[in-house]
Amino acid sequence: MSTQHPLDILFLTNFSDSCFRAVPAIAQMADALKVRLSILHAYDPAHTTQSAAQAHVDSFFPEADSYATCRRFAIRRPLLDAVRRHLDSWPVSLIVAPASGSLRLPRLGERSLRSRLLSEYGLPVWTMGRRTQAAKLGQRVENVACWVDFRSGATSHLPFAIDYAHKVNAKLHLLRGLPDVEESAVLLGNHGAVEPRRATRELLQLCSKSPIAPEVHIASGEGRRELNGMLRKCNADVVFLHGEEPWLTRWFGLGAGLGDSAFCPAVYVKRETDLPSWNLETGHAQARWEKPNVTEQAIVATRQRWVAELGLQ
Amino acid sequence: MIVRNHLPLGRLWPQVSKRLSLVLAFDIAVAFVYTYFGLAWLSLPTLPLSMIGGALSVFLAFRNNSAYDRWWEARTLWGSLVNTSRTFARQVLTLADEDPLRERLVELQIGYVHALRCHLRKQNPFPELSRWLPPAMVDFLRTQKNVPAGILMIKARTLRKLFDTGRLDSYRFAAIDRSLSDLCNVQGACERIKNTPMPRQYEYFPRVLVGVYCLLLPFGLVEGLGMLTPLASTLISLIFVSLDTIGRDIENPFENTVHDTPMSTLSRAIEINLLQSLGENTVPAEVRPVEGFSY
Repeated sequence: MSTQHPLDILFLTNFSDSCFRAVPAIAQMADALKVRLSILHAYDPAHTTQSAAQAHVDSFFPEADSYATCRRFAIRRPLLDAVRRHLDSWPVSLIVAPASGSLRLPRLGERSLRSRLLSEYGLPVWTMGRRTQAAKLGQRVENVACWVDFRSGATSHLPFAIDYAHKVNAKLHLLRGLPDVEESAVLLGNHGAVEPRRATRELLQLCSKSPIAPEVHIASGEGRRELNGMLRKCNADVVFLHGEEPWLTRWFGLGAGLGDSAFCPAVYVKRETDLPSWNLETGHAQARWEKPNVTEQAIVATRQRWVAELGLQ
Repeated sequence: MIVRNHLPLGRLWPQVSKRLSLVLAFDIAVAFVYTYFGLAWLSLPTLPLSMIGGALSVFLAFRNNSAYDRWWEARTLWGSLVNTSRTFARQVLTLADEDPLRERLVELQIGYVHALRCHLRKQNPFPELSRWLPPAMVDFLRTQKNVPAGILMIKARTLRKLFDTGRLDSYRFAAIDRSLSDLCNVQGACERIKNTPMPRQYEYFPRVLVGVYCLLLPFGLVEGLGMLTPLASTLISLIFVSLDTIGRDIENPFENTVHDTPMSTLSRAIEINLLQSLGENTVPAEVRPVEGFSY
């Protein structure tokens, strides 16, 4: 019995431009891996009815109806409760939450929805920001980057990056920024890790059991500029980040998180996430449900016709 | 494609916020310095600014006309694709003698439309094509740089098979082949729009000139309006910035944005029409505009 699992994706949408822009990335995932897609929209009952919201969800990303498995839900707000209700029935292994259209105004007291999703459900969250290049979304993933933060040393996202890179047949790049060492600096912890060669060895040790050999990139500095520089250097198509965000950007909403400032999509994995079902299964999106749905029956019927009439396998 | 009558402010504001915020801050600074520090030399005569504004308006109008022509041509091409798809299905199902390959050709046409949409949006078509085509054919198409062109070739070969087996005579074969040529022409025209951007001069100079004009404008208005200058200047700047933004938004109609030709809607419409021409009772639902936007 295979221990591999399809990638169960929950695509949260408020029908913003970002959600439509994210569609090519989902299509790419659906081709590279076995994917079961659920599209969820949380509607406000004060402004619309369930049937109208469901009609909107049914018209969003219409090509997903041709995928082997796609379900669509319109659930009453608030969004976090809607997600919880959905997850009770349909566990998922990845939440897709593109950044919603920003008004580019300060949002005092506003806490990022994505960070709340990470905190409450502990599931990996795929996201993209304003700076994500459209070309990165539709193309095949050939380079997977994984940022290992020096200060926190969190590596819980590393197994996810390794598995993802392995299953989509991409190169894995480990990125680490080292703090600048100045005369007045006080380094807590392992001072020796500031040395690049030692940092490289430590990262490679983390991947000693990885089925693929990663490339290590070390830069001086730990901020967004260094991250983006390394992402460009390795031509990353997606970057895995651990789910801890600085408090300032979360509570005031003024700055962009590391993932939002990257030019490629980002997958946040929370520190304590332990997701055994993330042993992804490769192949086309043909996972089986308990009951075959109409689309799967149509696929089987189409194949039988072609085989019988044209002799094609 | 925007189909709603009123655009919410939340959609408009992010498009122009950055430039307008800078302009407003600059206008306030100019008005403040002029009014409270008495620097009369800051004011400029209005006549040159009026002439610059007029010339800039003509330039922007010409550029926006060109952008609109591209947008409208894209819509016309997809309308032509709808017509040609229906024509092709009708020809294949009525002109060819009874053969299962007729139905397969219609299915290939549905796959072609979806492949063309994905090709223009730079989106992976294979999860959808797996619905319509057998694995061997999908594997063949993976080797093709241009997937819709690959499907056209498969269709042509299948049509040839019908001809070789006597299901089509030469006249009818030629008639159906003309539909394939029409599809190829539509695809070529769409690729021309996709791969040929507006001349960079039309992109660069309007942006620069609008910026320069917005910076000079408060100096021309401050003598007459004083501290009301930011209000008037920002409002006039909004007009020019909007004209520049509109042109840039619509000049590329295949970018998977809200300004696109509604290819998803049209693809689904073609799929429904062709499935019904095959006699299918169960067809997918039409794609409706989502919150006033049709993709």
